[in-house]
Amino acid sequence: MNKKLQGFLVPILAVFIALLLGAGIIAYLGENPLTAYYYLFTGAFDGRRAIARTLLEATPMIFTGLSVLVAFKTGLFNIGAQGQVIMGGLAAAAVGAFVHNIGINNVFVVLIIAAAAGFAWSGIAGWLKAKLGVHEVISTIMLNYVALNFEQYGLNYPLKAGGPMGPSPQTPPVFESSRLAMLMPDTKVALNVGFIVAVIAVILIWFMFEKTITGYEIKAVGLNPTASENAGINVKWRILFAMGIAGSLSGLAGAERILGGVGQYTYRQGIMGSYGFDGIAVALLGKNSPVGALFAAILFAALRTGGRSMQFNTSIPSQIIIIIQAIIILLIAAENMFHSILDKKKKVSN
Amino acid sequence: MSIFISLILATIRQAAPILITAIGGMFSELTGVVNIGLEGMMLMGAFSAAVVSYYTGNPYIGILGGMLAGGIMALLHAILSIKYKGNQVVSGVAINLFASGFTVFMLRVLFNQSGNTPTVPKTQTFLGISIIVFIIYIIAIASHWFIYKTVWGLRMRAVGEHPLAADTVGINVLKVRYFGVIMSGLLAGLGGAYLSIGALSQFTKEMSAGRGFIALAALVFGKWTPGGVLGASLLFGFADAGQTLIQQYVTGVPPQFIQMLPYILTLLALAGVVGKAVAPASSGKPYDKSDD
Repeated sequence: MNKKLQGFLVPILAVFIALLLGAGIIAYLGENPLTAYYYLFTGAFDGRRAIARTLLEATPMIFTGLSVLVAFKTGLFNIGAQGQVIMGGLAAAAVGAFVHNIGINNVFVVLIIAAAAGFAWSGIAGWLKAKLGVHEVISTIMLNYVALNFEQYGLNYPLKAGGPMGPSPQTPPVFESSRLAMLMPDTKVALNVGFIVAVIAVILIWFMFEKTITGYEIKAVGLNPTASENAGINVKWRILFAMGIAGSLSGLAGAERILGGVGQYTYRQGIMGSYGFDGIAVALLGKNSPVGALFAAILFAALRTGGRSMQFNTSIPSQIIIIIQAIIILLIAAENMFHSILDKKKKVSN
Repeated sequence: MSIFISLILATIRQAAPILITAIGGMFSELTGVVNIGLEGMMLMGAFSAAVVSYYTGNPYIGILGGMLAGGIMALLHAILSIKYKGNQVVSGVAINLFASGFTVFMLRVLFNQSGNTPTVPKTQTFLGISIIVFIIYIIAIASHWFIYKTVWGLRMRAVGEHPLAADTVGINVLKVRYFGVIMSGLLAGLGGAYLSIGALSQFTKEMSAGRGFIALAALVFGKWTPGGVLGASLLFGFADAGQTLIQQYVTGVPPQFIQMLPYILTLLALAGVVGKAVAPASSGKPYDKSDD
């Protein structure tokens, strides 16, 4: 079987095997896997509300998936998406809820500021890598924890609604002018224009890698930095640029959570979930293609929203979804296992 | 004076889980396998220690249960990254995710709880410090002897620095790597066991709370040596234990900034501001005889 077809098969097989293992666990717990998966599916896709919920959940994952993907293409592992999401979200909340200037708290400007905050945050890791050769995995993990503490600081002190003595650690809601418009207001689900922006980002990133010289050079750096250097590409500059773009995409993910009304337009504890880490799963399952990431994000989001309906209707805890997601990543990490099995089959059929 | 002593004791206690998990990480990384799944291995250790202690009524069997669970996670990481030459960072991410989902899932299945286990038997204490803490410091000190004074330690370092050369002189590279990675899981599991049945007497959801990543920071800040890791862990433990005290004396510093310190220090160490930290040469690369 040729490599390209195998590359396409691996993610599908991984999802299939993970769902099969999940079914095994469900059966072991004495429930009918078909019934459980029926609720999983209908919870995610049956009706306008369900679809709106799934796409709402998918939106930040599309951004972070692209973020991890852009870094991957450059040969970098962006584990720091979570921190970049937080910094983007904090920037959006700070400007959107505290700056009274109509020209600045305009939603477009706020999105750009959030993207810039993400750019600056990941730029630290990019700079450390390009300038000093510091491994980005370690630096971005450290930056994640700095960002997490910074988030707690922001929500408890300078950005807290009602000042430091306010009732709970969250920001006030952002001004009307900073909000992203709802897409399906009749469903009462906060699906917003952020989803459209995410889809546009998919197209732009695709365009960058397929049609522009910059994208081509970034890919070249990812494949072989030494050869790229020799060919006259400024490798350090490309690393810094790609890492920055990665951060700005994650920053947009954070901004969408705040400006899109997920938590009544406030930044509150836990609102950023684990979207940065989900981005890693999304980029891997999407086989590093922007369109693949779009579908992978929708799949993981569907598992999430469907998982809640499954927990509601059966005795299966929704955390099984996280287990299934982890198995999918493990299987993709062990990609060589599939290749050796698929190649063996080929030898037999010859 | 008593504040001073209690601060020292608190530092020793808070440093312990970070220390043992970082020593575990050292075993893995010295052989050339990156392990960012320490957090998940720790969490699984904490959970299993509590569960085993609950069902057997014996916290010491609980310790073994915690170590075993961490070890099993590590075995998975080893198979993926050594046998199938998978991406070690991806595998670590998946293990962290798995542990966070699995522990809460099992809380619901076993105890019908979403946040914590019932109270379980905990280990004995001495001077208010769990027995596990003493075990941890003994292992940490012994690891220095193991890595620098034994043949196995020498082999581990050789495999991490130059696997091909090690292979040429007859060292089984893959076997040494399996050993290093599994050790990391056993030790991270012990660190987790301390959290659930040493410091407390129950498991609570996500109780590792990023300590696996602080351990990773301690490993880097300690420059991959047992002595350095010990110093880094004590420093980070002090930052944790001394927080309330520091706030009493240094007013106006929010606690979050003190909590950021370990990570910022590690970033500075990586940047070479506080002595350059350099990882083992073959770190993160799968070994394949047919390469080169």
